[in-house]
Amino acid sequence: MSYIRRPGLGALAMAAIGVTVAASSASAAKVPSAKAAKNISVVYIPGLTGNPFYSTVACGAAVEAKKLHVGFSVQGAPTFAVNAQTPVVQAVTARHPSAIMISNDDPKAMIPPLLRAQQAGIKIINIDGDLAEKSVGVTNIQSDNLIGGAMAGQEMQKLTKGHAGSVLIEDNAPGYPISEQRRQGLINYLRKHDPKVKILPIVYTNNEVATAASDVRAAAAAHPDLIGVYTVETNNTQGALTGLEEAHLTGKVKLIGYDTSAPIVAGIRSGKVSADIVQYPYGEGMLGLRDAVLAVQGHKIPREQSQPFVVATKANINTAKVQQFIYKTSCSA
Amino acid sequence: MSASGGATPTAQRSDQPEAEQDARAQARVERRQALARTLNTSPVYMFGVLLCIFVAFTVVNATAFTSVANVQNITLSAAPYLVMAVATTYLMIASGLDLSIGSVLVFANVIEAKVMGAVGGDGTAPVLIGLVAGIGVGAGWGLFNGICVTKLRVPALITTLGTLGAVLGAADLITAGNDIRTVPMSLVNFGADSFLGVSYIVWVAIVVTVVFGLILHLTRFGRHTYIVGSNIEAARRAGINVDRHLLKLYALSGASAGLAGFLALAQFASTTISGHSTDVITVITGVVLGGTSLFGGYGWMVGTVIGILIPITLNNGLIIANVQPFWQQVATGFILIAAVYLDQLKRRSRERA
Repeated sequence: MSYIRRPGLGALAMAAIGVTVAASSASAAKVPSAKAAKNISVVYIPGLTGNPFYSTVACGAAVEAKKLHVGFSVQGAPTFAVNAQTPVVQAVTARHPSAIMISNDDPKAMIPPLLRAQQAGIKIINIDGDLAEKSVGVTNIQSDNLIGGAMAGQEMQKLTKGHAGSVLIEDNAPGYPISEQRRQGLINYLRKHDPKVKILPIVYTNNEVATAASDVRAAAAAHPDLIGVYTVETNNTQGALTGLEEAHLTGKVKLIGYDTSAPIVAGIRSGKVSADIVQYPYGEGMLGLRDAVLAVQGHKIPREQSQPFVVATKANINTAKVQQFIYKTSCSA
Repeated sequence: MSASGGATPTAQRSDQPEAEQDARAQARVERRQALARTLNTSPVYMFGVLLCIFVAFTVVNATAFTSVANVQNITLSAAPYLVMAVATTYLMIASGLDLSIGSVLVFANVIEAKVMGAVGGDGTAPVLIGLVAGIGVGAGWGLFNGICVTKLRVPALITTLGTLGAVLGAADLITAGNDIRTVPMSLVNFGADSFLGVSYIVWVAIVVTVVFGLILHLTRFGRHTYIVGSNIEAARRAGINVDRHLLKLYALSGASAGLAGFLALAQFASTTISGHSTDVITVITGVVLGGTSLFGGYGWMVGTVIGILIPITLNNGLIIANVQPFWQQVATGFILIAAVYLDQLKRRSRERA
């Protein structure tokens, strides 16, 4: 994807170490006036419903909407697929809100329905999943998944300390740019910096915790030299956690996850998850809603806005800095 | 289509020779009875349910819900399901079952995109070649299902559950799981354009429904379908080649999934590999809501149209009414159960009468 620039080593180190919450985006400083925002309504359409990451985006946006007295609601489909998301976009467009915040299920196939919404005068804010056509949408807010993957690679190298061995990668299903970049980031990093590590063929789990667990057990049995597991979505991390425990390999085989949930946070606390790449969906939601209001009020917003990460470990999980990144299971918490 | 389609199968059952009566008076009575029967059938009843849903959402937000654009949204969403539901209606009337249609749709979807990309260029030719290939492979998987069911005697539930997984896996093998976008511009335009304010995609669904509705209710092929479903032994003794008839219906089911795959490709300009795992549930729900018996021998094409429109309209309307997404799933589920329950009550009172 063209908008992803491969991070230089310096940039990577910056991202990994110098993570701060204040995203250095121009519009973050600009605060829309609550008075003028009265009759504005914003709808957020997640990639799918019931996912901790997207739910946290919604929480961040809801909090900001309350502050600005903006109408806010969430509408979405239970599956991550364009033919499920398109009817939702169409129905929301019929209702004609002032702005739509959307986490796109596909960079190309979602263009036509969103173009129609934009032509109807609705401002489009892309969140964690841009479109291939940059004229649709006023901005895209997301963290760079290649960098996230490279950060996971760096952690893996730190944990395995240059030992030879195999690393297993678990993903939901092939064909999603976001998770592909997360995988590629780690693979690129390890190939370059730790060539002794052998990367096993990628295992697909269809987002099933039970499959993720049994696949880890199978891989551990087939490859006694297994030293690390990298899981690029919530359910895979939860499954791998269980699978390693069942195979009595917790701690011996290092587990690095991506995104958080309650069981993953518990796993980090107990050290069963060695490291976890955590994005900042709450901030993406807040920024997205602010930008939606600004766009409706006629302000100009940068087209690309990058959001930070942290690497959560047993050592830092309870610090305030990491805690604000952790995904929320309910907005009030 | 409603009156003729609904009356044909029931009218045959109640021919009562009453030679002494005045022929004209009898005709009048029969006509009135036929009308009463028609009014008391599932499609008419379900049409009432659909109307209620429509009125309710109109009350909630008339400007958004009844706008031309939104009615187009609903019909466009319904079109691929309707194409598959037409074939499923045949199959279920004949006591068959095909759970693999969503996977066959994806497989055909992939083959169509691949073929169109391989033929290359723009214009009608690559699109038509892709369409024929897609319907062909769809019918091929349908035949495979049919052979397993009729010749190898593997139950339809197991056979099509098997192909549900296997066919999707085969599609993933071809694509390594990545969606394909080798779609000619002419197909994208076909998906976006409309005629008389109705999308071409919807026109295809309408034509398929009308043609196959007429075949079901007016031809020998249609009557054989009912007979096979209501009494397979009687069908055999009446000289119907039951196995061959079922084979044709399974092939039709697969071919319909191939056509639905083509419509999805036209709409999204991309294959949608991950998006059809629940299609079969939507289709079977729609067919059953429309009055087709789960046990065969009974069903109407017009009912299927209404049955498919009910869940699609509900989904669209609940978003417009701004109901929280999780409630939508709960509400849709229970409204479906309630609608079929009311239909059952109606049916029972009809049988007592």
